Amino acid sequence: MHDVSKRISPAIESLYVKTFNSFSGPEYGIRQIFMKARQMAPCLLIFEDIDSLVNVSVRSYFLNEVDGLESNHGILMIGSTNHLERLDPGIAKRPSRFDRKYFFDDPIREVCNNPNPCLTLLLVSYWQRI
Amino acid sequence: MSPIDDFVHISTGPGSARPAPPSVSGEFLENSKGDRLFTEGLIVESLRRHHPKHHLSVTPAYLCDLIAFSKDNNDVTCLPHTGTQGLRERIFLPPARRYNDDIGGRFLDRIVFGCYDYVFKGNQFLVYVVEGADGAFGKNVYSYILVEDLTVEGKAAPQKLADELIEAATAYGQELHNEVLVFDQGFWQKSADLWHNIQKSNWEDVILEEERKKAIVDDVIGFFDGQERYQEFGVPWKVIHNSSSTKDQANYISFREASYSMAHQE
Repeated sequence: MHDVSKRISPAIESLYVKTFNSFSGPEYGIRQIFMKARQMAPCLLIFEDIDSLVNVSVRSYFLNEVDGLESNHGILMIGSTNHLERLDPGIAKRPSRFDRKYFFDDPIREVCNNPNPCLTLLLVSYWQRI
Repeated sequence: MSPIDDFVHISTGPGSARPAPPSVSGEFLENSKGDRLFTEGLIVESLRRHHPKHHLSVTPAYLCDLIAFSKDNNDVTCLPHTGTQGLRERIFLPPARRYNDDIGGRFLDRIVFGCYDYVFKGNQFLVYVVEGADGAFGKNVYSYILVEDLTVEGKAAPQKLADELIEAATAYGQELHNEVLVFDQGFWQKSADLWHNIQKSNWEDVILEEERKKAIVDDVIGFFDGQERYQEFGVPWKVIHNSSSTKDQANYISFREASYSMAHQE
């Protein structure tokens, strides 16, 4: 968000979604979210803890907005989750929705399992600098 | 009352008829003002009376905030009109944090009634900003834009001048100015705090292998840089291609393995 916020012409704005809830229900909220994102594109659209945002009752509506008939050109969506197993396969697995997946493991476990000491060194040298 | 009283038709009886207003708009106003709360109509009627040679445009301030627009743009001037009493509420906003707050609280002026000499692109406007009750629920603020009607040849029509101002101020309100949009409780809200917090973040504080860091940054920057390439290849500008480095592929595979093992742990 910091890197893209420095860009100009066109400026890349950041849109951050806390909840789908609205006074007219979550579907209305999702509609408002995507209408604004299309207006603001090119932009980042961030869904924090997407597993708890997209529940069964709004899944169809959400997926429709994500890759339905309306153009979402220039919208880079980022979803984060700590509970991969709770995420719908329609979001986790299908292409053209969330195309890149980055897995950030528990750093300690990652360091222990990593035969390459690179990350350990990075951690240690980072803390030394502070 | 005796039973032999003359029948009186009360609805058409003498004295009950009020004089019909001289025009359709007069009739509309007659019906709208008075007992019904309709400040907008009242102000319009008053402005037409006091500024008969001006052209009037009314626009809701929640879409087109002329005062905020003038504060943030150096080429716009907005000065209180001399001879008009304004009504503004002075509000002190206490600091958002009780402890270690270096900004302190701040004062805020809320305009209930104001009249301003407004200059935009060298054009003179007289702007009234009035908060009024229009109906029983809530209050609305409207901007009343008056342009002197100089229908001289070569001069732009007054509506065109007002439209230019409304368009610029509305567009300004839609844009973000060092803010992030946050969707919460059904509304998009601008957050300057969040934007400023993000500016402090630094990739050096993220502990990841350099290659992996670079792959993530490249995905995002490459997406926004690649508009023309997406067009060239006829691909919707929303898909991130899977054709890039093997490192990404490795990330993805480790993700799949992780998801598999997590699913089986349950």
